[in-house]
Amino acid sequence: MRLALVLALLATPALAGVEEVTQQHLRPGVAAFAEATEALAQAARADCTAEALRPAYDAAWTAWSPIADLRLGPTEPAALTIAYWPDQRGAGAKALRGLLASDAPALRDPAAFAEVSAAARGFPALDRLLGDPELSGYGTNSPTCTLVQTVTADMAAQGAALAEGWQAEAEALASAGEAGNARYLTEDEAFRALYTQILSALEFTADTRLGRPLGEPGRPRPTRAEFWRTGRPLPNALASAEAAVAVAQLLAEIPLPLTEAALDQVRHAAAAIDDPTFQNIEDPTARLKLEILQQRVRALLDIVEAEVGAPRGLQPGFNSRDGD
Amino acid sequence: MRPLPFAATTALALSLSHAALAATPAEVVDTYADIAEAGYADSLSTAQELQAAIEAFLDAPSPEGLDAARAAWIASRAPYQQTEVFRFGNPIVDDWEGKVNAWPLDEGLIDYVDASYGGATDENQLAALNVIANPTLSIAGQEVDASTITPELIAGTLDQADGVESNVARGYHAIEFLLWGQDLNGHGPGAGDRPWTDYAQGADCTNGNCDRRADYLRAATQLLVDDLAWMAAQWAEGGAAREAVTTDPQAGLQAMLTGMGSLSYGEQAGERMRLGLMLNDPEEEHDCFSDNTHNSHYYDGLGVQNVYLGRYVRPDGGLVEGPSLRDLVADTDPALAEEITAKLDTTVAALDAIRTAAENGTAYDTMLEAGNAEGERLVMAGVDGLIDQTRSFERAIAALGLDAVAFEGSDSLDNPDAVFQ
Amino acid sequence: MATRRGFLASLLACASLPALGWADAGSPAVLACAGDPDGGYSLHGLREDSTAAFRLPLPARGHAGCGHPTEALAVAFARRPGTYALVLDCARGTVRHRLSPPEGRHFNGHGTFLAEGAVLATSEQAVDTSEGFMGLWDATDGFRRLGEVPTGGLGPHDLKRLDSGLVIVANGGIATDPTDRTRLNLATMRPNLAVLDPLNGGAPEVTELTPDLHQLSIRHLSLRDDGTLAFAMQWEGEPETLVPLLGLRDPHGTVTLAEAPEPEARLMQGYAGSIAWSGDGTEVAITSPKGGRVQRFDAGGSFLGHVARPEVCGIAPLGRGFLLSDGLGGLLSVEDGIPAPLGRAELAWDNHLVRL
Repeated sequence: MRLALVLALLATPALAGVEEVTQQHLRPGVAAFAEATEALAQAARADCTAEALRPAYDAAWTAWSPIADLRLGPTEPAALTIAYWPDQRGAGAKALRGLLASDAPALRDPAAFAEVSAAARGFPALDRLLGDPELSGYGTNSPTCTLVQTVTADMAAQGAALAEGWQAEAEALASAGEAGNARYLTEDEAFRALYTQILSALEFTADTRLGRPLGEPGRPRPTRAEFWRTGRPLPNALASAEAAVAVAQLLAEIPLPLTEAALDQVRHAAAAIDDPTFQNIEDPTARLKLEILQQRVRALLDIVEAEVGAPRGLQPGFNSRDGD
Repeated sequence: MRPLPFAATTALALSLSHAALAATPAEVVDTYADIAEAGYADSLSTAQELQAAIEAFLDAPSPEGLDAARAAWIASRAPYQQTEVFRFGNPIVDDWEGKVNAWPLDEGLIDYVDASYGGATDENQLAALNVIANPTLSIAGQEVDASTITPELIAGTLDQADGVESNVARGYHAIEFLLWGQDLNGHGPGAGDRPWTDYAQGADCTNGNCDRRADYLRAATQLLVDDLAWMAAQWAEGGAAREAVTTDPQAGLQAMLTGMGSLSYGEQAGERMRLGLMLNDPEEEHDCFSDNTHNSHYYDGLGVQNVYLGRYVRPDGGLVEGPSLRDLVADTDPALAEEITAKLDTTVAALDAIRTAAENGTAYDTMLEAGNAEGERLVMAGVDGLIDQTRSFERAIAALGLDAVAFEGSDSLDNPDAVFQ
Repeated sequence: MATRRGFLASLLACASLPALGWADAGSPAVLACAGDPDGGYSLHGLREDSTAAFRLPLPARGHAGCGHPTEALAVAFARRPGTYALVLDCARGTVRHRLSPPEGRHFNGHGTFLAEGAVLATSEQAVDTSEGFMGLWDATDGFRRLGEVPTGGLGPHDLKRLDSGLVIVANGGIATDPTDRTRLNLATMRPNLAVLDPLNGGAPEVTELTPDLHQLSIRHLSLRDDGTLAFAMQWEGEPETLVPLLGLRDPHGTVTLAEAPEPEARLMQGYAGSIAWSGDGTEVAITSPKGGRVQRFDAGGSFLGHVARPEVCGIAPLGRGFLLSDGLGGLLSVEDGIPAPLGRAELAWDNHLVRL
């Protein structure tokens, strides 16, 4: 596997890395997400109950995670309307409660639903509706059932729009540096754009996905974990690291032995965690295991910087990190 | 050359005669401290009356007893809201204020709530803790013995529990919730409607744990009385708050104007009035359980006027009066002094119009409803007045030459070169 | 024109040299500062077709403040704390003057010429209090300090001359620690737009946003020919709150705030770094280097669309539309919402483009 990758890199021109990320990761990624959300919507139409829907829900996550943190072009706004998090004001829960208590058109009409707060759409809504025991016991002829069907129909519409909208971004990446490409003026810019996303993803996972539940010294905050009601905290964190490295491997033109080793460390740390929802981190041992995972993700970030960024002389932004 | 000595002599004579009439900064800050002392003393005495009404109610629960306690709470807010102007500009008040007037609160921490409230939130695990129903609590993984509800339990363990700001266990608004209950009317008319039987002992008790609910109300009221007594002492002769403004009258003047401006602008016009209007959210009203927000806003505005005019009318009709900020501003810029006086009048009148409308049946929360044009007009008139007067306060700061004072002794003034090293 | 390294080592040129116009500097349309790949810094003049008119080395990272209306003079400000500004002779490639703010003041990175170039106005703040001043300098007499006018707010930033001869200033409202730029007053900040009379001083006529937006720092300005002012803002409040980042002030003083719909609005990350009207005046755009995004609005404040571009910040009118510059060295044109690349240099463009 490693050997094949090296040969491929040697055999292709400079843009290969960007093209490979586009062709082998992002393009199939958005297509898979479109399929998975369509399947989810169909499943909800067939049987909207929480238990019946969970496999399709998890499958939608499996499709979303590889592209979740690669926010380029249409995935930038989509990341907000598909997986808004963290929601520190509880806006999503409040909006959902309000919708369920009302008879608003948004309850059954996906187009009207697309106007509600981003925090109440997509995965955050399903995490509540399918994962909160106070809500998830709904029957097939209930307002909650209708809302679940609306949420999933909205997700399928978003998935389809993303697959469609992604074409333009894929073309822009593929033609980076060519005349008329206003998105990526050089090949190097396309590389940099993808590389920046890798770093942001790892940073977000370490600081926010894992950092928020870790809380303050002596005070873990398990319910501040990401979509913990439906068991997403550990799978999402691990998938984010896996996706980051997958993209780094496709992007770099050299083997990344250190990055791969660092990812293995992340996997080991993740495997040691007993409760994927992080709801046990009041327990010191569980907390320690989560902290170790966080450290391993940070270490992975440092190594990607050293192994992928440094050889290209990539440095943080000139304007974006220095406001005026 | 000849006219000059003459002119100078005249000017000297004029300024001498003027000085005899004008207020000095030291006198003005004395009046300020006197008003604060009286305001906190009145807050204390009305809180003690509230305590007496609550004791009477709890001793023999009845609908009339609850009404009397609610009336005493509303009466106690009148002097207290007039002291809010002392909060900004006086760190000693600002640091303490959260104990008595913290808001908004996740009231499910204290007592039962309606199903629409939801339970614990991801941000606040204790949002539906319900201390009154639970003699044993779990807070941040620690088991807490709450079998006896005491002021110590509330102050030491429950208030700000788990490092979350909205865990407000004490102060006026906790008591307000215990007297009124949640206002479940949304934008519709009506305040909270807690039945008096929530405090009936024995078989008549509604919603359970009436004994513990009474204990909580007693303990929270005791804390409020103690907290107000402490602050009243800070403004009495020799008190730390009084010393802080009178030792350096210029700094005292700065505190006065900072307090007037900050309360008017960011706090009252912004956070408390305009934000609620923008969000059309009935929870965005200050005294949300009792629907007493109209009075809160009015007395806040009156407090600002008191400080400027150096004049405070006590609940018993007594007057505290002395050399005023207005006199001092008039000494430098008579037109500005009158402008501020007029703008304060306009604001107080606008806030009074909100109060009158509320007393005639248009509660403040219904004014916040989307599409209520008349409500919006009333609220915005108050907001506009508050903003407008703040601008004039800034001119007063400049007219009194206060800017430089605040920064006296700072490193950058004493040693400007250091800044560039 | 060739690179002119080493000019700064030369003596300050005599102030009485005959004035040379912009044609003598290669007829630039836009000024921009940049960071060079070798770690140095430079000021660039760019022509209408985005080719280089001139390039001058700078001693430190600078902000292109303003250009003289007729003479080939550019004023570049040191980054904050702005302890000096340079008046550069863009035709001769020399430093004509080095301006130091009065003791206890520093420059805030922006300036504008008044009275057909006779007077330079600079935005300044008191080091200790952040109180704002507009400094006035005599451009006809060696940039001698003439005086100053209070701006009626803290942390003044951009400023523009109105047709009435008055000057409008964006008081950002933020008090900063003089040593490390730490924001000191986020809870109480109150930005405003102030109209100043440079001759008579006096109390400026001030426009404030409503109190709920008091943490929305007004920083950069763009003026259309008819006097409609567009201003760009930066949110210092709770990050989850969505607020408008663009404001429009018509010649009568009526203010309209504009924002894109969610989720587009969120992608600016509460930050607009630069602003410009389009060349034909029908559109106005704000840029966010943090969000890598440009948002276009019509003259009534309705959202038109976005252009995504990493590190984008500088913006100026070009043709009917806009010229964009970014931290990756890219220059783009945007017309009718369609971006087209103009070139990419091995340097990083600083935050602003200054239209001459």
